Amino acid sequence: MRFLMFCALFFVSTASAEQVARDQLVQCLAISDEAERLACFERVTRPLVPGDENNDAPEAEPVAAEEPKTDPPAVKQVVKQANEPGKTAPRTDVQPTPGLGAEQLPDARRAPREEKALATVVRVRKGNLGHLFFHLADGSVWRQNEARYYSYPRNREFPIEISKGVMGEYQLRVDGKGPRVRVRRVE
Amino acid sequence: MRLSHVFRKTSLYSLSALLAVGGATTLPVQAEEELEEVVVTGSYIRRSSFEGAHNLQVLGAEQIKLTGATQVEELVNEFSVNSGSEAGAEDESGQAQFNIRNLGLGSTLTLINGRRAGVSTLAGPGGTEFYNVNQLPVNMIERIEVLADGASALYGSQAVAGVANIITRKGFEGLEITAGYSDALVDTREIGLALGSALADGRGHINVYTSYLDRPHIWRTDVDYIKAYIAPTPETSRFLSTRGSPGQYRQPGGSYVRDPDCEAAGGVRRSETDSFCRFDFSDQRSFMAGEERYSAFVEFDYEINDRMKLYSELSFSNTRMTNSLGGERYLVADGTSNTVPIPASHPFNFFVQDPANPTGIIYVPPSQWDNAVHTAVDLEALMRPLGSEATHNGDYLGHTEYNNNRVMMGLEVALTDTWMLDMSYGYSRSNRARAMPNNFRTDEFQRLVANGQWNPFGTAKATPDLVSPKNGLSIAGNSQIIQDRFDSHFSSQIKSAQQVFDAVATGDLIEMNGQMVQAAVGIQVRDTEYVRLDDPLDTALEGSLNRFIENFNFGGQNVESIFAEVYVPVGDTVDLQLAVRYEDYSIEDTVDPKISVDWRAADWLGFRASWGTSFQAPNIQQTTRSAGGQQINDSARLDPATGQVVCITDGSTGVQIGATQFLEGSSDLKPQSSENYNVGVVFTLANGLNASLDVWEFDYEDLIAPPLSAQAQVDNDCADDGIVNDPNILRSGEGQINAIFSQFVNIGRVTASGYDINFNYETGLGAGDLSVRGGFTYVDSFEIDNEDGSPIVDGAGSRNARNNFRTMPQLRGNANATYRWGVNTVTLGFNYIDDYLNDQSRNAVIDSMETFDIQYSRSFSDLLIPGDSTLTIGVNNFTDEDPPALVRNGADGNRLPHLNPSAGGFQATGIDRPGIDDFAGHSLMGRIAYVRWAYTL
Repeated sequence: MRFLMFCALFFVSTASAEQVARDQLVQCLAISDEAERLACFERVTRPLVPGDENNDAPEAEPVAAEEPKTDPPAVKQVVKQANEPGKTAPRTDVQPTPGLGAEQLPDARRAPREEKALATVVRVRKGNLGHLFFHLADGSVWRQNEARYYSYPRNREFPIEISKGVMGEYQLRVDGKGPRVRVRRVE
Repeated sequence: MRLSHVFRKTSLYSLSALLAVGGATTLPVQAEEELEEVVVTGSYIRRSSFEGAHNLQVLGAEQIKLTGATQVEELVNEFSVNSGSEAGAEDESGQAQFNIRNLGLGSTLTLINGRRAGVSTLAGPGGTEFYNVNQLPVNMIERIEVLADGASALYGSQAVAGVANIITRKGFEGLEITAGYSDALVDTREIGLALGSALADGRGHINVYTSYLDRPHIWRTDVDYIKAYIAPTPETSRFLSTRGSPGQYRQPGGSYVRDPDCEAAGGVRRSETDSFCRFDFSDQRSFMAGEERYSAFVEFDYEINDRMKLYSELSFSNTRMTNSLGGERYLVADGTSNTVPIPASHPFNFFVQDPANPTGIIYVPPSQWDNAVHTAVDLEALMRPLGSEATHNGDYLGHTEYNNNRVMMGLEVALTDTWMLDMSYGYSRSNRARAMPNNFRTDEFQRLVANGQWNPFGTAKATPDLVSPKNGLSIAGNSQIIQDRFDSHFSSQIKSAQQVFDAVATGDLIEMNGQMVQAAVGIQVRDTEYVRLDDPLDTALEGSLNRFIENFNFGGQNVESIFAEVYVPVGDTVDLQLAVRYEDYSIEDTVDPKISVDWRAADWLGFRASWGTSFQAPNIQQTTRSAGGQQINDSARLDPATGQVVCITDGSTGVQIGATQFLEGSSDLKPQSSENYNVGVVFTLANGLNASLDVWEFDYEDLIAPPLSAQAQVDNDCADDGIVNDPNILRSGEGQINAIFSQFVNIGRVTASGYDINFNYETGLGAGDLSVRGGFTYVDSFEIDNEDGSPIVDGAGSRNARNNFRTMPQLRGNANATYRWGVNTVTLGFNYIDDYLNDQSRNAVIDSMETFDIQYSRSFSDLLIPGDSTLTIGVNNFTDEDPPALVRNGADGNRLPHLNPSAGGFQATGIDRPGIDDFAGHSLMGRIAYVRWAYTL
């Protein structure tokens, strides 16, 4: 249900918000885990929801009058100081970084990592050490991480899939199949 | 300057840089190559145009796979500029090293990522130090760059002929597992693991490479070509010794009579008339030692912040060698003739005096022995304690274990936006422990024979149950308990350690004509130590070999140096490199400059030239004192009439005594120094063909020669002027030699010149790509002048068995063609070693050797499990070419027949022992078929 609701919000906000990158949404669709997929859509579409149009931070409220609602230690500390007699009102212009410590949250609430992406190679060049440099349509450049022969279509653009390997390295495959080559993004 | 700018894209157009060996990575020029700034061998300065003025041969990881190599030693001979290494030799050490231009094991410096790799526990002839490359796992290598040009101005001592820089796969990310099996003369199994991962969101990396290799030892008699060459049959074998077990006997002053149970007890006779009972030692030692090796290499780096990076390298290897050593000789330290005295009372001594000849003996069979009639005589036996029972016997195996450790840590600091400081400290340590059987306690053996507890005669093995008719008690067969009383072990330990501290600052100096003049300055301090713990029996001259202890017991060397390098772009097409180094190693210091220039005359044509001086400092053995026992035949004696020690002139033989020889360097020992130049032309054609031709020359002087042998020194004392007056020979009041002092001296000179040709060609062909690569070196001359009045010898095209250098064919090289299409790769390779002369045997011509290799590999994706797999099958030397035999010429200059008359029969004396040449780089393994599987995830 929530999934359908966010899809509806997406279509409603299209007319009034910036055109959301198709690629980002396609990537979200590729996520198998439902919770992560939902969080991905949420991240992509949040700027389009009314009230978040300019992505302003919520107006700060006097923390002293309320029970602390969130866990970030910085907020807790502010609350404690405000409650002590004689203390001045806590600073409300310092907000915790939303993503700070996010990697320590349980998986369900962690922002999904981009594990796989489809792209188009527009140009391939070879370095003086024999490494290949793949220039993608989105302007990024990926360098082959070891000098070894790798077969790729010559003299034309071709689709690729870049995914993460078991050791966290990125691997490139032509058209999502065939041998992989380890790459590192350099631009 | 951010450290991440190490790899910075530029749009410079560059001539092809690395024209390399027959399998190596090549860099064909395409329009607008993507150039990266790197530090290359031969310079400390990072720049994008890195071919510079260097004669560089490169073997990349891709090409390493195409060779099918399982150990680094197999890669050493891929470089045509390398010659005379102990790589894949008939050797028990399992060690291998680079030897560029064959100028000596200590004349090539080995680096890892541009830093000194360490020193081996073993040493070459004369104590020359080298680095054992076999301790490194092959899967750690990104490429090997061999700079075949004197490089002491940059790297210091030992870089006379050049440097071999092993560059690791730093930054590799992923998981890679390899496993392989090779079927050849001996089978080899190997597995490897490579891991790499980024750390801290890419601010750091860690890489781990490990490998395991296992290969059993092999007997000589299991090698068909060895048998064919020098051991066709036991009777015609060149592996026969006159010291057999059993042996032969005589009365003092008489003639030898062989043991009548010779053959029944495992001895060999060449013919019925052969008066010796010989020992077949063809399998006394293994043809190739067994090896089991674990090795690991870990590298780590981490960017602490934008201006500082920490890095580290750790390596470990453990190698266990297994070699046979059976039936050792028996030498006595007390000055006798190395025979074993056997008393007449020995229960199995059935030799009596020959009635017709007072000094002769005849044998009485034990079945006919009568104590009332027969009286045995005292004998001298020419023999060895153990014979065939201890040869080709897995119970008599020697074990050698090598442990090598190295740790290096460094810090890169961006001092300013254009200057960087790189400091590192490295500690490497190697240890060799060895235990070999058959180190006989000679005094105990003599005692056991004298009191009848050990039966040296053939009856011990031919009729072990025989009861002596002389006493009715003693049994002919020997017991293990008695054997253990004299059959000890030879054990020794050698340790080496090296510490190196480096600090190098590099950066921009001034702008000149729109380009930047760059500089590097640095210091280095290094400390090297050796400790050798010899076998206690040997040091007491009680061991069976009574060998002279050639190596020192303890020594060290401390060296300090400072160097500078400047890179000057002169216009748009000319680059100039200037370098100079000052090195101080306590007893001597040296300054060595180098200048290199390269000129890009046209898009397709470039020239390079370099000139410089290099040096090789005296090694530790040559600067410290070592001592050992030596058997000397004294050519002088005390004249009782005059009380003076005088030279023997009446033709009689002198007394054999044991004396101590002290080896040391002289107080004015200078480093070996070299002046060399290299001129080259580089072609880079638009059709994908790249080629280079280099002409080089080395003038290597003040060679440090090993001192004369103790015997030669004693002989020369009388030979030169007939007077006993050598101040380096210390005698007692009775005229007996107590000590001999021998010194290493600077004597000798080598002038070498030749040509290097390298080429590679890449083109699209049909559905794939074809690449052809090759590298050849021709040595035009290698003139060895001992500067002692003896004729100058040209070592080019010679085995060099009579001088301190090694086999040097004039022409050697390799080439291969590789075709890749889709997931398939096929390679054909060709290796060539020219013929050369056997100077040990009147310059007989030793044949050339050509071998052909083939390999096919195919990659599979997600085969059964996620990931890529590559299956490789190949055959090296698929025509199964045998290494050429060490043929000999007779006095008439003609080739000797294979078999020649000897002792009433024939012997394969047409070929020198050991039958094949260890140092020519010939493949000794025969046809090698292998299969390898690599999995990456």
